[in-house]
Amino acid sequence: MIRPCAMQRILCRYHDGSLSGLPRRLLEQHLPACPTCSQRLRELEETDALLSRARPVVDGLAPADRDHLFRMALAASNAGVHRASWLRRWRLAASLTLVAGIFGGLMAQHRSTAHGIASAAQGAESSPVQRVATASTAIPEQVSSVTVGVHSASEVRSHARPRFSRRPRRQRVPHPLGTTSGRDQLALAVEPRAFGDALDGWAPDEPQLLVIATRDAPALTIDVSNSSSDQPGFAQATSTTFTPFGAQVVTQATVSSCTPGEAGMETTPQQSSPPGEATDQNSMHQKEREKSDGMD
Amino acid sequence: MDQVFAVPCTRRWEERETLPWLAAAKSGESWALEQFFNLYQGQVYSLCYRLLGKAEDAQDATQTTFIKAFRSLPHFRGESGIRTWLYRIAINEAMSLARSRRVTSNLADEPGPAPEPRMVERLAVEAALTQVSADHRAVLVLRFWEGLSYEEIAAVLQISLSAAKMRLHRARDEFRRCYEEKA
Repeated sequence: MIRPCAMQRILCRYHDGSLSGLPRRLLEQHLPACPTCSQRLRELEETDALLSRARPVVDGLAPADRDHLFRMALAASNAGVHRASWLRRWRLAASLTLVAGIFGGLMAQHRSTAHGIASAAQGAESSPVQRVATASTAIPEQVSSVTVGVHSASEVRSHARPRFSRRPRRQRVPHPLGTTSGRDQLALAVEPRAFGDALDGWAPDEPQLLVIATRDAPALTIDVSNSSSDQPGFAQATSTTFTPFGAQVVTQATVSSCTPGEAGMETTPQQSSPPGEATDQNSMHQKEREKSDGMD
Repeated sequence: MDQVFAVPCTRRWEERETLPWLAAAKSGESWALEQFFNLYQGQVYSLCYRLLGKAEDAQDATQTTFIKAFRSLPHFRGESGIRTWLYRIAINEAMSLARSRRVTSNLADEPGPAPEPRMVERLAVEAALTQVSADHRAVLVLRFWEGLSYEEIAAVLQISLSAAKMRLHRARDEFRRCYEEKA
């Protein structure tokens, strides 16, 4: 059996060029006489040469992919940079809606809560940001906060996979646009700035806007994509409840008014109803809660 | 005895370079961000491709790298070179993606006639690299395929110079073991 040579301790320093002075000279004198060290040095050099020879030549991105990638990165980063101002505008719009709602409630008591959301979207028209689509839905009791973010197609696919753990993994939104909390109605606005020119060619496999409600309890997800409709700017909201036993699609809400500056829900009722039971969606979510309670 | 390194150090690592568009890019001007993107997208994509082995994954990693870079650019203080900074983000993104997915070699899946000896060797290297740990793969790719010096590797990985040398040494040993097993 060949005994390891003590000089091997400094051999890798010699190989990477950081050995100098007397130790280097001693090792150079030692190398021709020691087959173990010579063999080891040869192996190191062969490995380096092997790796260098195998360097793959990478074809760059196609111009179309490059442009698309830049647009998406710019849009997502703009959404992040302007997140605070977007939230401020959202809160301002919500405040204006509240004031308008109280005033309107005094004037005409049959105004619905859902209609309030529509007027919030109309109120936002005066802001520099134009909305192209607005969806609204009730947040189940178990949910404490909702995060809106951009996901790539593969991330959306991984979110869509059912989970079987009793405590669902915390959902991570890599590029959040905003967060809301409380069990209020969620009004989701898709800003053209968040997607730029990419909105026109928005295909299901493109990165999508994802709304994720997070908590250890069952959560709510609204996935907005342009689906297969021919209408320009048409969007579809899909609500998915993640129960501890897997993902379950419980309802679909279609967003009809998606032209720039307009917003509204197709399923918005016009009659007066108390908060929490204002929309068809709310009743669906009530069923959904009952269903998830039953599963628990 | 002089050593001969077969490392393809093909370009200068432009540290602390003066970039005329940088100030505009920091303030979020899209023309400057586009220039920044056009200048570095090829290098970032190549790095991600070599780390992940798949074009689709490399595109995802490149996209998230630039999203983070665009967002963090206003806070970039210039303590390191912009390319070092960008590579650091790309490495982190690619490695977190690699941890979530199994890294496989795209080349190994290519159908067709029997490959040439050079190609056989390349496939074996690719296959062995998929077996080594993500940290070791990263350091090998940076050194031998991206041509970074030890100092640059240390800056990108935010470790000391001696730690970079030690990691490369261990990575080389691990790769050698995997390669010999495959061979």
